[in-house]
Amino acid sequence: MNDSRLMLVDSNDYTASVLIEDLRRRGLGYVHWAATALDVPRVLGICEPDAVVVNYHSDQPDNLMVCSTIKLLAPLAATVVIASPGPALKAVRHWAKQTSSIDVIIEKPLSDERFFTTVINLLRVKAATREADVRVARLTSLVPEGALSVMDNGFGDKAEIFDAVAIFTDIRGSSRLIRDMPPQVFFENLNALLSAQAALVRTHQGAVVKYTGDGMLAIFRGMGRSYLALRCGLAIAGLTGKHRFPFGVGIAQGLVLAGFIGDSTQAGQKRQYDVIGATVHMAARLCELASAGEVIATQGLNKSARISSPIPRLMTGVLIRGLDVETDCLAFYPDQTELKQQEF
Amino acid sequence: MKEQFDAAQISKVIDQALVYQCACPAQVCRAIFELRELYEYQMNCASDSVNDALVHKTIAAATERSHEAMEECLKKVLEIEGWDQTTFLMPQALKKKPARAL
Repeated sequence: MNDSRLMLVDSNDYTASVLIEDLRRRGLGYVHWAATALDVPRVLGICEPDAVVVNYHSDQPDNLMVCSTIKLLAPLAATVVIASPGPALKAVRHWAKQTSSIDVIIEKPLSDERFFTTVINLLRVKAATREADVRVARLTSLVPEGALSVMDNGFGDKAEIFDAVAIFTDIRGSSRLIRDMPPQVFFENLNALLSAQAALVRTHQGAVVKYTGDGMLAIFRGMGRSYLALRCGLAIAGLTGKHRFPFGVGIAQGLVLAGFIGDSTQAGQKRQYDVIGATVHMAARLCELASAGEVIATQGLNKSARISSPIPRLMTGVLIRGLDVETDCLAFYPDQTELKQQEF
Repeated sequence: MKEQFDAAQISKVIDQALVYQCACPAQVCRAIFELRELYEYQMNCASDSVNDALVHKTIAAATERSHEAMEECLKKVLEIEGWDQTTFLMPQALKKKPARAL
């Protein structure tokens, strides 16, 4: 356990040396030491401890205040106080009850392994929790925002139908681009572009559902979704020229179906969150039709959004593949200078 | 109950004898504190008319004798080990672990 983050607060040089020596002998590695209450904030800042051992000396009753300082500055660290029996122990128990700043109290003398076992177990639990938190943070970035809110509500099987605006983006000629450049360079450019698109989605209060390989699907819900989504689409199109890959943008509004696809009750089965339906399909098809740097949206969408700048081009009777319907659309080709002025 | 050592003096011995070898003086100190708590408990219990006062008096008397014996024991142990019984500081000779860990 050489990477343990353990701190000792002890105003007595001798007992501090004895404790540190004993903790090290049990494989706890480097122990950070604060000799005075004034030292505590500085040492806390250096070692970000998982556990702090406070050796309480009965002739310095004010030192219990240090436990509250520790809880305030390092709320995730466990505080272990060792105290002599009698009035000192009573004072520590009283302080613990009053302030909730002490997690474990151990009686002196430390004549058995109880103290060391407690500290080692606390550090193990804290280290495991820290690792789990890092893992969760990594996994969270892999899960769409919509899925997170569904999971927070119990991870149920219930699908949700709601009104939304779907934005689809897609790189033009990605197969050729993959062939023409080293894979690492392609990936770096792809990541930079998709990350920039996702950042704009978040800025405009949308949620990225997924990256589709060489594009992205995002949705917008709630009040003002048409305006926000169309503005977002224009801002995304405005990335053209700043990034190496050309891409188109398709936007459609209507009912979508969201939920988890796949059965996770079976061991080894994959489950993923997705948003599907005719609206998503329509956005994907409009994206196919858009040329590089262009946004194509259904005309109905702009009836709510009312965006007139840049001036859209009307496309009547556009046949949507797969839906077998003709619809009127608007094509926007954002002026870069104007977009810069209108950025959120 | 007569007390040869006050709580601060006993606590000071325990604080210094933290993990020292078998922590014998500290164990004696601990026993003294426990006996004091037991005595106090009996005193409070005896005032309750529901309880049999004689039981508590008997326990208290035995506790007092034990406490006196343990205090005498502590006095002798501190003398044998060479503790300064004015300051209650641990003698250097007992500090077997030097401050090299700091």
